Amino acid sequence: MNLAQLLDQLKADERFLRQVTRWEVIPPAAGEYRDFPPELPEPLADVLRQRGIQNLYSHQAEAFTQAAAGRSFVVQTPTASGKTLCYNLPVLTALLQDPQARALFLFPTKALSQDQMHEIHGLVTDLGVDIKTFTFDGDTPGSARRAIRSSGHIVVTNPDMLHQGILPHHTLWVKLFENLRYVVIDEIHHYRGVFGSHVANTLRRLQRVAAFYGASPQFICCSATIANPGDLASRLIGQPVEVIQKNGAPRGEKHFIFYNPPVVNRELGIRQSVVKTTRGIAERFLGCDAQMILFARSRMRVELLLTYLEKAGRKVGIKSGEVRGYRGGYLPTERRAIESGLRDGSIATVVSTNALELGIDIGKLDVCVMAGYAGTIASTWQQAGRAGRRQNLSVVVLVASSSPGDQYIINHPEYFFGRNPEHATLDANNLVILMSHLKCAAFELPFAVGENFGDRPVQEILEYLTEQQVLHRSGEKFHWMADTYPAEDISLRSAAPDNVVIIEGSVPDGRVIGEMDLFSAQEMLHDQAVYMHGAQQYHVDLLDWDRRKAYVQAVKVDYYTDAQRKSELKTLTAEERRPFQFGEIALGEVGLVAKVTVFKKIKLGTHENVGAGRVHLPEMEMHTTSFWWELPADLDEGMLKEGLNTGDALKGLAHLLGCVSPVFVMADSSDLHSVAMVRSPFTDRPTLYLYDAYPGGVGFAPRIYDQFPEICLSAREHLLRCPCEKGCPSCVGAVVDSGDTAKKGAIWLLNRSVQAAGQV
Amino acid sequence: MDLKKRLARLDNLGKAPGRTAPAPAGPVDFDPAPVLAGMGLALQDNGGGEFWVRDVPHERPACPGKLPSLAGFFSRAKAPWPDAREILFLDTETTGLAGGTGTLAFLVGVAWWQVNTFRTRQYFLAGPRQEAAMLKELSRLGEDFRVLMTFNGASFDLPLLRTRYVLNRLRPSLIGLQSWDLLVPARRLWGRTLTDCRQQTLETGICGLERSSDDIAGNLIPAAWFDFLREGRAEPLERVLYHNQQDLIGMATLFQHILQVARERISDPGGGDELSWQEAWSLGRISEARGEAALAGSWFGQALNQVCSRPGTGLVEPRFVKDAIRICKRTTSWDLVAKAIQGALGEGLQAPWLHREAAILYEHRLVDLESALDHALLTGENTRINRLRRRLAGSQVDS
Repeated sequence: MNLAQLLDQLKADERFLRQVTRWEVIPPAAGEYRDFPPELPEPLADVLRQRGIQNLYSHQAEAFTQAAAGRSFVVQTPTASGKTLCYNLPVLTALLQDPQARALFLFPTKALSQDQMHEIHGLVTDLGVDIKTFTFDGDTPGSARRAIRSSGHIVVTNPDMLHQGILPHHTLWVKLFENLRYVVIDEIHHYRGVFGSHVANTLRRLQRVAAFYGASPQFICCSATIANPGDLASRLIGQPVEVIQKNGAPRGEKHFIFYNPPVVNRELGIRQSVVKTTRGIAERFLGCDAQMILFARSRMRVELLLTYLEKAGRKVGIKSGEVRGYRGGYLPTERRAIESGLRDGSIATVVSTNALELGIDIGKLDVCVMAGYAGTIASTWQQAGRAGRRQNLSVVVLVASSSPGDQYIINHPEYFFGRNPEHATLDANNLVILMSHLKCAAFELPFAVGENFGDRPVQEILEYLTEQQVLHRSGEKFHWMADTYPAEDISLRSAAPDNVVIIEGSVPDGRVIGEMDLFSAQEMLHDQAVYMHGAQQYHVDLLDWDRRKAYVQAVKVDYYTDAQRKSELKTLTAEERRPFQFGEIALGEVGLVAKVTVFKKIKLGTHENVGAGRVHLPEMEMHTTSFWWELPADLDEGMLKEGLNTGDALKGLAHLLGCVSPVFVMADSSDLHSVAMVRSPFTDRPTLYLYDAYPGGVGFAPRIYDQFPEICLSAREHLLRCPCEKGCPSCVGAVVDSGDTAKKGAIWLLNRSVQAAGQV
Repeated sequence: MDLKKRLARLDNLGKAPGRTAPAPAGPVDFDPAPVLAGMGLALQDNGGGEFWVRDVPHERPACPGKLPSLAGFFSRAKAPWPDAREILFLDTETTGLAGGTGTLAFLVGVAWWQVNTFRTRQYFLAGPRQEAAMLKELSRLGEDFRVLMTFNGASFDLPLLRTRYVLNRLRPSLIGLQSWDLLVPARRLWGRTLTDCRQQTLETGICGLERSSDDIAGNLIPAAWFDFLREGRAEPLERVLYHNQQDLIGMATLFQHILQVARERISDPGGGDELSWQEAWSLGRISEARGEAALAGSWFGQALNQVCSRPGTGLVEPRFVKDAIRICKRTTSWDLVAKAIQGALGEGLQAPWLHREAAILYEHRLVDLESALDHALLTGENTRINRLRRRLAGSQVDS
């Protein structure tokens, strides 16, 4: 049976259709082609022709024209629409015309840079010219670094390495900076919120250093689906950009199916689990000779689905090597093998976390099944974009989990299809981040009095840093004046780089099978855990926490383990506080403690609970800055009178402020977390916390503290305008999560706070 | 709220609870000239700008004159050997040890022998803007010399200066001199006997030099300059000048000790005081690097004699045993080779390469095929094992 026949079968399947809440058919589109531009060097055109490329898609041609005109631009087109030629053609053209010219490629992760290396290497080899392309990252051996610095025409790296390894040593990279023609930044949708603000400042430093050597490079950016690629790109590089959004690649018909698992317990309203449902749907596709990708939201679910599909695949004659898992924690070589297997078709099915949502080149597949909503409209479209070849039919199935967010989306498909993908923003002038990078920049080159950083005047901050004895003013310049290396203390990302190595076998002759970040290791690699890796089960004999090693033994058991994490927010100190019309607001330090204490043993297949155990691991703690709103102690009474529930109202309001506040402080919604407590142990009152999701904080909480009246005003307006009846993910959260009265309760609370703002 | 208050608030919030930022320092107005003049520094203007200089002549160390061959001591040093007066010693005091473009050398000490006087010259910056003129002066001075002598300069002082030249858009001509790093011969000669190879350890342990209480600990040096710039504090800075000057004198003295070894001791294994086995090992290695195999053999002979009578020393040290076997094989001193191998085995040293050496020794030199096979079996080398088995089987048939 082929895919079209299977679709026909599904369309006639009453039981299947009963669970479908939307079946959207996206019509096919023809490609738009352009002849090779006359400026394209003939040897390069020949190489393209050898590869069967006779002309360019319109967006590729447009990119080439913009580059030739000397403009910076951003390209936003779907996955596998030939995006890489948008930058490889201009860059190679420049390098063919001027052998001294240099280009810098930035990718958010090492894996992506590896991928690009292959692509460029291939083109350069076919061109038969001496264009040297090197990756420069943490894995680059010291012996190779010198050659890369002086002779690399194209240097492929990531923002972290640029920040800590290249810019602070720019005198070793004179050749690169003097001749820097292009900076290519791929996957810019990653550079949002705090991370994006860091990268934007790193790019200010890059441009400053380049200017010192007399270069002003052009920027070529690429983005996955977001609402505002041009806006994000220009914030990122600090200059206006042209936007290329019209996709010229052809695409086939695509079916997008929303599927809600059936209710299995009518009294309790419990639905079949997302894993079981996804398994059932995926198994139907296994038999129809189509390449398929499954997205699951956790590593555990990836391994479970993989285990089930391998088994099901064997029944229909699919070998176990043709069904593979893909997620963080697999070794790089294993990942590379899976990627190439997907490209050449030797792998039929892959189960992945959002790791494959990134621009890793795996070609186009036929079917995409999502076990759970990806969390944002943009990510969902990115995952869905993995399916869809140029000519053929493709199918995307979104299977909802029982979480409130998923249930809302699956029951309101118009919310998904009717809305633009999320905006991405960043704030290069966030004071904490700006100050960090000013230190790095002053270390790299002294600041002249009156010099701007990007377009930001920074004289006052430089004077402040001089008072703090970090800088020294000598004549008309501010010099770095401390015996430290500032870039070392500043990490662009919040996640700790530390990891646990997973070793199979005994101590001296063990074999490393994977690695895992510390946070997840506590959940998945504790003593006695059953850890699954590529559908093979391993028993964890010992987690040596201090040495960051987990020793595992391959086993075959019919259960897996699932650990529970307990999180707690502790208020440490209040630094500032002031009365608010309704209650008080405060600013201070909080500690977030996470601890894994128990785990459950769950039977494969049935998912029954078959036992439990304790975990003894140290707590993980993060200190950060928080804003909080202490509501009156007698809040309950007032709300009860109105038939409202304090818990619902606070929960709804926390959700609402979690959506609205990031807009005010130009953060990504993941940069700020909100927590509601009906009675906080610190304040002894109903309290609502909004805190920076970064160790030490990045200055969001103080701004929320300062602007809280306006934030409340705006939150109220947003809530009153929201067309939903009792709550949705865009306001107070879905009803199943926040409760029936959440919306009313939140409005009630905001009405009281807004009177305060009115009086100010 | 004004920007500075906001910055201070953010700084405070970001810190762990209970800690506060240091009180901001107000600008201090002072005239550095009298302070610096009081330390013997004089303002110089070389046309490119101003900087401060202090010249001091010293009676010691005396000038060593024409240099002997230093092959094997310094890496990449080669004939023709210069006169000692063609060497420029250099040592920098910097604003940090981290490296990178933000670290600068605020004090560059140089020294050379002028006729018979050892002359130290210290270039000092009363502020970062004096750097360019000073670097130019340094380049100009370098033109009179052939060799730039440093201690650990290859990894620290010279890359740092090179960066400073680039940042000031100057050609780093000084860096074009032949670079000799004293750390290299010091490690080769004394690295096995001293606890570490820091310059001060060598000064005390090898040269018998002591620093007075005027010295300053290296980690306090950056702050000494920062304090001077901000408040005009002279006292710590004076210690830095002393420290830098002593570093230069220490380097030259250390160089004399190296020259003494190069001139006399290395070619005379039989003469002088008996050296420790480690020193003999070191001199053996250097002789080998100089291409003097016979001399290397005598040094290793001396070392082996010592370690054989002292269990738990050289024969438990794989690198020594390897070196000894290699050298003694080259000089065909088979009894010494046997001594090294059997001694090491006797001390319980276990390694496939040692068993391979033992197997070769027993098979070819001592013609004890059974012992040879015992050792060969521990190497896992099948060709040798099979050959020995065949030979053993053959000899049993014969007997």
